[in-house]
Amino acid sequence: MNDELTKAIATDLGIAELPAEEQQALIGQFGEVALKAATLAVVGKLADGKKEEFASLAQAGDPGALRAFLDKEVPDHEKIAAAAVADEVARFKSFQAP
Amino acid sequence: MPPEKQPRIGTQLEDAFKKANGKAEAESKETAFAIDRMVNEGNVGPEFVKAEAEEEAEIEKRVDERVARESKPQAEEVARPADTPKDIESGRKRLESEDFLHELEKNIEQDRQKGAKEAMAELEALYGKDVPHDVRSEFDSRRTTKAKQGFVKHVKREMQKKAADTLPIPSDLRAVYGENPPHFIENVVKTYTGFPKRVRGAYVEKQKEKKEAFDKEEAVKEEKHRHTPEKKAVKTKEKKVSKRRSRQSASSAEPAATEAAPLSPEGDAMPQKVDAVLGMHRTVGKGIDEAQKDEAKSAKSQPEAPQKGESADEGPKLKSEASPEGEYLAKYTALLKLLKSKYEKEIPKELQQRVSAAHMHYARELTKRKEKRDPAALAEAGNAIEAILAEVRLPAPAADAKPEDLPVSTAEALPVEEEKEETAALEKDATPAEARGKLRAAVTKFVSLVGKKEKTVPSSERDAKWQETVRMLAERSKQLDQEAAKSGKVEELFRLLGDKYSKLGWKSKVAIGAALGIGAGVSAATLSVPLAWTFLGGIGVQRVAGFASVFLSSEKRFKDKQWSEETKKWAALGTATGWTVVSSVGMAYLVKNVAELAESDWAKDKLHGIAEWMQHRLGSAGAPASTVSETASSYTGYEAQVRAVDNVIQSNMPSVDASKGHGYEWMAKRLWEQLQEKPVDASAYAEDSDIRALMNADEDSIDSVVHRLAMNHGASALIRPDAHMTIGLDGQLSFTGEIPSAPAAEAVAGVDYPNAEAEMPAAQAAAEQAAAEEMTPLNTEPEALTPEAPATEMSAEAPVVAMPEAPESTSGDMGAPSAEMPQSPESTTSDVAPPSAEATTTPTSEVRYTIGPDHSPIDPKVPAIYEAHDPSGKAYLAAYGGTDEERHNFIIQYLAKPENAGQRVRYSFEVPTLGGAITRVEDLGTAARERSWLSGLFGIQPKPPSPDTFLRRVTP
Repeated sequence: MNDELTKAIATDLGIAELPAEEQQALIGQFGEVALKAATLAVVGKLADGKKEEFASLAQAGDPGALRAFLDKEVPDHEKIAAAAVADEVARFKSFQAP
Repeated sequence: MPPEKQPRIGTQLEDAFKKANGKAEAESKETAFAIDRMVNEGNVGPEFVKAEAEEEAEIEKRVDERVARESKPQAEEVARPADTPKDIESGRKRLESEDFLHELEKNIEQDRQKGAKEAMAELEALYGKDVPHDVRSEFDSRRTTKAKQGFVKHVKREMQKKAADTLPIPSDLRAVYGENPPHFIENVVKTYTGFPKRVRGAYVEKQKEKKEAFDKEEAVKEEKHRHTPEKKAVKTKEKKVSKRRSRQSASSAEPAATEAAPLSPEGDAMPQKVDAVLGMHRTVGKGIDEAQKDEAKSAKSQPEAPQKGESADEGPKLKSEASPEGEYLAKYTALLKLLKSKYEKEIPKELQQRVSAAHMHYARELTKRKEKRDPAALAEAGNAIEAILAEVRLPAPAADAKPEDLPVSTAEALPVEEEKEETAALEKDATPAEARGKLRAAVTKFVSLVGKKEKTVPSSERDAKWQETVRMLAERSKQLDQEAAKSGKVEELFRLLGDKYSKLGWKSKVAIGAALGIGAGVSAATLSVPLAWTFLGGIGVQRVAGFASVFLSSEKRFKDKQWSEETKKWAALGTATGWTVVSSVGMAYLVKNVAELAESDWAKDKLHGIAEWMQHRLGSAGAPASTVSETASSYTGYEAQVRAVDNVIQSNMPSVDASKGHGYEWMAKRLWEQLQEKPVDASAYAEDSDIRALMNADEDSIDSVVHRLAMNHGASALIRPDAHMTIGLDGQLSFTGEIPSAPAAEAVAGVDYPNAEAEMPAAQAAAEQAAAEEMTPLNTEPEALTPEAPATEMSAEAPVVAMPEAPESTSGDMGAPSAEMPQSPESTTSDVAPPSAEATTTPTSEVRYTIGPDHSPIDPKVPAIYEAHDPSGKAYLAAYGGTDEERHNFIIQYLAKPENAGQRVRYSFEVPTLGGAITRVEDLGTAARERSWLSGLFGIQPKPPSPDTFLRRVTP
């Protein structure tokens, strides 16, 4: 499964031609950036009081609760996060371009 | 001229060698045919027949393989999977490895030595052990195995002939074979004499006819050979050997034209580019040597070296009798060696491209059919390599430099003598296989230096770009952290994110990327931050696997009309394009859809089946499906699916139930044992997870690992009979059945249940007491050692703690693995003992163990010296509590006191290593004996001191 995912991600990021080890390193690093960017974009839509709640739910690692919270507080959170990730992907790819 | 698109070099080489093998096979087949005919005619002896039959079988096998290969060229081409970047990279690394060529040469040498030994054995069999000196010398003078074997065969035949000379040959047979009968005449005579006299005449007549037919055929072949010098006809193996011998002894080489095979035979259906390589192979035996002679002259007379541009007009300067192709190959080989010696592995990109383009251009010209080949174009193409060779060989001269100003040392850049020797070896005795081996090595080296790299960015440039990208991502990550800090409230969350992420395994990172829609392409507008955060906790990856299984099992069912249009569309896509698309779309999308499905009645009904299927797929023997179904049905939608998947995943984890006399560490060790039998992919879990620690442990380290885990988890000494240990979704030890400790009850005796009535409702207290009464009783009852007893005196006589079960005991098991837990008689009373004053006043939740009749607490935060026993019952002093440094200092202070002189104290401490922290156990003390060097050598060390082995506290 991971091989397929890795291939898909590497292709999306335009690094499929790199050796596997280098691909893994970049995908790993990019994942952190993407998660931060997506989280930041969604959190930015929350009121201050809700940010703490989000933080506690995120740390608890309960996806159901976190999803329910975001569905309620930021109904279009998926689109917001997707846009943030897409921006990061574009930034990465533009950097990779010769 | 820019290089045209070519098949990958690996394909060219592969096909070229196939074809080269094919030619050798054809030659061998022709030879075999002649021999076969002789065999059929009964003109050879049985030994010869046997040897040839074996060789024939080998040839047949190779021919069959070749026929099978070539019968489906298209299908094979289609079936051949494309090289992945990883394959290419690993192949490139292997080809670049000097070891590869060394290994190749080594294998050739080994084969040669082996073959030579066998040939010598055969020779000795012919002569007995006293092989004549001159014969042995002659044998030794043959360089290659084939030559040696050929020589032995020749000797054998000569001996047979000699025997035939002394053989009384009947006159009628002598009339057939003349004065020089063949070596197999003995067999013929035997056959002849075997016949009755009345039929001997007919036999002779038949032999005569055969002899005439054979001679006639040989004459035709000889004639044909003369008129078609390009084809290397082989009459018989005997002639072949003779020819080679004469070639060796000849002072001048034969005309190249008689040796060189056509580079593009008529009707050849093989790809043209392949022929180029093959063509070079075919001329290797002759061309290199001749060309290298001129190359050597050229190198030594440096000022006369051809200059760029000049050679293109004048054609090759190498004058010899070698074929033009041989000249080209000589120049090309020289160029490769020069590039290697001059640039090693860092050949300039531009030069690589030029060499590659020039070579490919020549190859294309060379492989054109004869009627289409333009000699001028071919010569021009060949000159390009020569021009590069001249350019590379010479250092860049000053604009006004004269030829005589050029340094002589540049001529040394080309190891001419070495090459001469090497190529001469090829020319002389080289068999086709050896020549192919040499050529393979040369071409392989070229591929490693030039061929592959032309398709990829040079490693140095790529590395620089990669490192630049890594830095860019690190900076971007920092920027986002700063933005989070400005945003407020989530700064701590981001710090946590960074910490957790860095510890994640590779699979988890990939799963997070997938959850965020990376890899789904621009069309996928779905991702899940909640899921990504779940993955961050190390749980998600397992769920991904579970969801993937759900999808696969449900793929056909997605077509059900109950599903939404969106789901059906997505399912159709997945069905049509398979798993790759599913992965590309991303797990978040999968989760979303599965959650949607799970809300339907159908899903609830089918959930049970899916879970069962997953269990089967994952090889689980646990977690009854009913549990899954029940649990899942108590939730809805996404949550239901998560729970169901979690249950199934959990069911695949090892688990251990409590048993009498065994504690926390024992149970953890049993988990480790199960993991050895049924490994779990630990890479999906965080690096510091318990499962990783267990998976990384071996027999030597597992005791210290489980001890550390017990310490990390503050394992309780009290375990319920129904206690259960497994590994949670987050990879941490999950333990149920530990007796909860009320604050006042923390300092409970290892065998006493805490006096918690005051803290608990009566019903709960009763329940806890009842549970405590069911706890596994201790099976040990050591004699308590008195504090006054010197530790050094106790060791040998310390009682072996193997005590009978005490049914009346209310004590639970200590949380440690020791089954020999020593306990004072007082501590095994059936009553729940009230905590001691000391215990109740110890305001720490860290205290989990007590010791002695007074139930004095063992505080892991405070260093102290205890008397402990090892598994054999031998007592020793152990330091326990506090940090490693505190503990060490405490021991030093303890030993510094005069009354403690001569004692030694054992303690454990952690040592950081690249593979993670490991626990070391050492003794300190003036009388501390060094452990056996053998124990040090094999990494044997005693178990770390554990509270459940403590007999008494020595220090206050």
